[in-house]
Amino acid sequence: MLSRLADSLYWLNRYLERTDALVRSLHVNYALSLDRGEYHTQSWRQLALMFSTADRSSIEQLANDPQEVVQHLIYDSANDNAIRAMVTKARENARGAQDHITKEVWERVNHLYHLINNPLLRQRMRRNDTMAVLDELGKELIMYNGMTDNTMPRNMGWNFMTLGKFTERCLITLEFADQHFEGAGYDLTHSLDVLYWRNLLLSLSGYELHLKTYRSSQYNQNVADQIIFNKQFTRSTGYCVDRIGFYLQKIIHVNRSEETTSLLKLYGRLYSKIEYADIDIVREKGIHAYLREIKNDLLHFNNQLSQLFFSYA
Amino acid sequence: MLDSTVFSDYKCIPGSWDEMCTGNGIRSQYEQVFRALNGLSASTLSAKDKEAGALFLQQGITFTVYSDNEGIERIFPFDLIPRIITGTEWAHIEAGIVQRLKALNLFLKDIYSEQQIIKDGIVPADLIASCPQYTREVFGIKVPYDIFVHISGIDLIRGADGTFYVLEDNLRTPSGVSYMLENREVTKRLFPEMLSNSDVRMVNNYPLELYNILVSLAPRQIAHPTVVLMTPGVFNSAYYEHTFLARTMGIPLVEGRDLMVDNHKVYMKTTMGLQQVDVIYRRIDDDFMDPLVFRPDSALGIPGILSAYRKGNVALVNAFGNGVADDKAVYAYVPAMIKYYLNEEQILPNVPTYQLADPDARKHVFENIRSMVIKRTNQSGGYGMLMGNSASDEDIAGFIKAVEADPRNFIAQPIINLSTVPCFLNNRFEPRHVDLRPFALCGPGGIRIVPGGLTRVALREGSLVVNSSQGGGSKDTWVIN
Repeated sequence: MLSRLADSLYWLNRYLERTDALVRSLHVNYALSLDRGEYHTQSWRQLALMFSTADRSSIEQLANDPQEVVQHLIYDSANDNAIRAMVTKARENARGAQDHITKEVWERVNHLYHLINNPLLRQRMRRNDTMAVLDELGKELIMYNGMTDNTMPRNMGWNFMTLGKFTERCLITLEFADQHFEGAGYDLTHSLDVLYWRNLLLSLSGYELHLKTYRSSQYNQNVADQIIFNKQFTRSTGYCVDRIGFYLQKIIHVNRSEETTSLLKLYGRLYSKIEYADIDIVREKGIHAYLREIKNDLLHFNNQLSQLFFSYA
Repeated sequence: MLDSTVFSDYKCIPGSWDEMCTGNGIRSQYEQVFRALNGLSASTLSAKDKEAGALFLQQGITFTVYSDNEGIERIFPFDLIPRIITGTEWAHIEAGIVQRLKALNLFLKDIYSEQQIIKDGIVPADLIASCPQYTREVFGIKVPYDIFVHISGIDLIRGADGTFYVLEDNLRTPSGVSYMLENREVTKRLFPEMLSNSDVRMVNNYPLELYNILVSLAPRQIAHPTVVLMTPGVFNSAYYEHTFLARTMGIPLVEGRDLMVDNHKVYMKTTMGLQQVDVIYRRIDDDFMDPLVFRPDSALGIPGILSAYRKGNVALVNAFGNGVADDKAVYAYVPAMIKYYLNEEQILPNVPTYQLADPDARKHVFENIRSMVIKRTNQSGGYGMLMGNSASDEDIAGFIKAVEADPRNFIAQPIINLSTVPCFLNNRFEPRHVDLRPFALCGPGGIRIVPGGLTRVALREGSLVVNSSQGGGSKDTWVIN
C-alpha cells in the first residue's frame, strides 16, 4: 500500500484514540467534580497539562474554572489537541485515504466532524448540558470503533490503523499513570485511598476490573500492576505492546528487509522490558523511571517505524 | 391541466423550450412523473428536499469553502425533479457524440503528427500555432490505439425549437460524473416508486466500463497491471469525485508526491518499496503534470513523467495536449473536421460561432453585442465570459477593449435560450434553464456513452449560466425507453 496512505490511516486512528481518551477523562472529571472530595482539587489542571498544547501560564489561568477548561479542551483553536482540532485532522486523514476505508467508517468520521462543528452543540454546553454532550461524543467514538472493527477488511491498512490505535493508547496510559503516581509521591510501598485512584481508573475504563481483580488494600501497588502488567486490561501497557507486536509481525511478514529486522529487535527489547518484569523490579527501579523508560523506548520505536514505512514526501 | 397546488402557477418562459410542458399540456415522457408529483404536497416535497441535502452531507459529498481560517462544508445544490430524455432523443444525441469524438480523436492524432488537415487548408495553421493549448512537447508521440480522448464530457444545450446543439467539448479532465451517479442514488431514496415505474436506463456501470478501458491501455503485457487515479489532493473541489471513482473502480488514489520516475518508468512509493505504475487516470491539468517540461513551480506533478510517456512506459488518460481540440476557437472547425475525416454531415450542430480575429465578424458582433455571449477561448467554468443581454455598459466597454487587444483569444456566439425544467424552489415549481453533459468513454472497443449524463441547472431566476462556480446546481437525468 502507498506510504502516504499507511501514514494517514495510522494517524487517523491515533487522533481518534486520543480524542476518545480525552472525551472519557472529561466525562470522568466532570462527574467527579460535582462531588466535594479531598482529591479533586488538582484534576482539571492535570488534565489540561496533559492534553493542551497551549503554554503553561495560560493553562494555569484556565485551571481554576472547570467550564473554561472544558471549552479549551474541546474547542480552543490555540490548542492543537482540542477535540475539534483532532477530529478535523482525523477527517482530513480519512478523506485522503477515503478509498482505503469503508464507506461506513468514512461516514462515521464525517458525522463526528459535522457534530463537533455544529453550533448547537456548543450552545448546549453553555446551557449546562455538558454531560449529555460528552455522552454523545463518547457514543460517536464507540460507534467509530465498532464500525471500524465490523467493516474494515483485515489488510495492510487495518494493520497500520490498529498499530496507530494501540501506540496512542499505550502512550496515554503511560502519561496518565505517571501523572497520578506523581500525586502519590511515586510510592509503591504505602497506599492511598481507592478514591484517589478512581479518577485514573475510570479515565482508563479500568475501575470495574480493578474492583473485581484486586482484593487487597495495597492500592498503589495494585494500580501499578493493573496498568503495567494486567493482560486482561485492554489499556494496560502490556496489552497494548502485545497488540503492537501482533500487527508489526503482520506488516513485516510481507515487507521483510534488513531494516525491518532491526525494527523487530527494537520491538523485542521493549516487549521484554514489560513481559519479563514484575512489580518488584518496578519498585526497585522506581515507578517514575520505569514508566519514562518504557515511554522513551516506545517513542523511539515509533520513530523508526515512521521512517521505515511512512517516508514518501 | 396544471391544476395541482404545487404546479398551480408554473409558467413556461416564453422563447424557451420547456422539457415538461408544451404550451398547453404535459409532454408524454413527463406524464408519469407529473402525476406522481401532483399527489404530493409542498411540505412533503420540502421534507424530501431537506433529506436530499442531509444525504449529501452525511456521505461527505461536499466541497470546502475557506473563510476566517475555518473550513465550511457546502454541498452542491441538487434539485429533486429529474430531467427526462426520451429514447429517441437519446439515440440522436448518442450518434452525434460518437461521430464528434471519432473526428476529434482523428484530429488530435493528425495535428500531433502529419498535420494533413492544415496542409489541405481545412484548419488554418495560424489558428493552431496561436493556440496556447497546442503542446509541441508531445508532437510525434504515439499513444495506445491512437486514442487521445478517453474520457470526455460534451456539453449540450437545447434551443427554443427543441434542437440539441453542442455548446462545448471538454476533452481534458471533465468532472461531474460522480454527481450523475450519486444523483441517481439519491433519487432512489427519495422517489423509489416513481423511478421504478418509469423504466429508466441504468447508469451505474460507468466505473466498470471506465476501468476496463484503463486496464486495456497498459503498456506491459502482464496479468494485473497497476492502474491509478491521480488527484491534486484533498483541497481540490472535485476531490470527492476522485475518491468516488477510485473506490468504485477499486484502484489506488495517488497524489504527485506518491509517484516518481526512474529510468523512464513511473513508480509509486509503497510500504513494500517501489511498485511500477502502468496507467494513470490523471485529474490534473497538463500544465501541472511535469515540472521539468511545463510549469516549473508545480508541486502537484511528477518530474520526468513526460519522458516515461514518450517512451511508452506509462499510459496517460486523457492524453497530453488535448486542449488544442477543445479550444473554443478550434470548436468552430469541428463540423469541417467531421466532413474531412469521416465524410459525414454533422449530426449534432454547433452553436454558430464568430471568430473575433476576423474583422468582419468582430464588427458584426460589436453591433449586436446585446444578443451575444463573448467567451475567452481558453477558460471554462463560467469564468471569463460576458452575457450581452444582462451585462452593464461598463462591462461591455471593458470586454470590447480586451477583445481588441487580443482578438484571437475570444469568440462570440448568439445567446441561446437554454431549455427549462421545473425545479422545486421556494416551495413550488419554477422553470429554470438547464444544459446536459453526457459522459463518453472511448476505448479500443469503441465509444460508449452511459445513458443520461449530468443535467446542470442555473438556479438563479433568468440566469443562463449553469456552472457550479456560478450558482448552478444539478438534477438526476433519466433516459426512458
